[in-house]
Amino acid sequence: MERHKTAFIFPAFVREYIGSETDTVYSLNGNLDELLEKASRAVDPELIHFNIHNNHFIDDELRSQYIAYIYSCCISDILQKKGIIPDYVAGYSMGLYAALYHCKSIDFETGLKLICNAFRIIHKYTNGKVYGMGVIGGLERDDIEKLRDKYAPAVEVINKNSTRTYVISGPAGEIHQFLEQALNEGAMHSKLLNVTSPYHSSFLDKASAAFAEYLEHIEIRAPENFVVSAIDQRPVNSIDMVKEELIDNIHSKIHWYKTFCFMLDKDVKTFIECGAGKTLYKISRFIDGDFKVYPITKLSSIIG
Amino acid sequence: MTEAEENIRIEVKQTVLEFFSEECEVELGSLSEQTNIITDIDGDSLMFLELIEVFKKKYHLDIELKTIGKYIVKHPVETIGQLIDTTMLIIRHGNKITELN
Repeated sequence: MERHKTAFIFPAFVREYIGSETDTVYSLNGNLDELLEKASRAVDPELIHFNIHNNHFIDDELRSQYIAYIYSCCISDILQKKGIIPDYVAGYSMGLYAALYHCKSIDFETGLKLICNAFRIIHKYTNGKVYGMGVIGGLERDDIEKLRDKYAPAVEVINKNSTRTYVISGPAGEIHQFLEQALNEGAMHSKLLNVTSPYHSSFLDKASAAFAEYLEHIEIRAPENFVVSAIDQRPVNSIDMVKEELIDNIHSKIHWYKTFCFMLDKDVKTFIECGAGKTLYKISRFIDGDFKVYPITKLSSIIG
Repeated sequence: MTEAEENIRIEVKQTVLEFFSEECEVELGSLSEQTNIITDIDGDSLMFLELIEVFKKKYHLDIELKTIGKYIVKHPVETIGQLIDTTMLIIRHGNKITELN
């Protein structure tokens, strides 16, 4: 009997919670409390006070990254305990840290410290300037680039999510202008992301160089699973390649659509979104193919 | 509305209700044409985009998404009923939808 392949996909930031994430991971015997406690000791004592309903840190860029990572690691642990082994693993943007945790390339605390230091270095090199990111849906790439050239030349198109949605990154003022004009030009979706850093853009070239220096002191192991690069879809299978991917992930454009299609081409039929919210599930609705994405709300249906 | 159009509207309505029930994880019976897509069921504009793709395929519509987008900027869709009505206009008028007042 033919075995369908499975991929674990790790989201980046939490843009919005569904609300049932904590209950779901507890119902599956997840170790969320333990991870929050460890994270509180490792990077930020406030994390122990996380509550998905009334203290969720959604507007705190760094803490929301920690929380996204913690949920992802928690789900990763659940899947490991259930003995579900993915054929492929991929991290969307900063979801890379949790993807590497799953593959035992980094430990839990190292992932938190990478998030913390990447954030601090980025803020140091953006020098107090305000940047932003946004998502545009319903326009073709050509239309987006024409708009960019006309209204926001400093903005970079940093990711093609699917055939219908793109992500932009750059100075906050131009991002706002771009998103507004996109609607006038016929975009059916135009949304500002809750970040103030221009991730995956050339504005972070210097920050990525500084992050490379920091990585020299970090213990990294070769991944135990097949990690697909969200940047160029190569397998990330050695210590050097992990480091390269971590550095490039700060300032290089990603291509989630290609990454997803790469896994589809390898006959992946089941994608498990390892994280809070259902961002990657939503993105996948605009990708054709014979597959199913299971967000956290559907997790119990496949692992019982 | 002709009988054929009425039948299409029934089909469209069924597709829209089933779509939102599945995507927003709400009971089919709790949805109506008065349901606000954003405030009542936590939907978003990407869902409308996805539905348009479904209807483009189903009814072989030759219309550019940005044409629909331009129409929607001037005629925002908030409820499921408005979404069904807009879809009917798209099916009926295609790219000429922007010529409507």
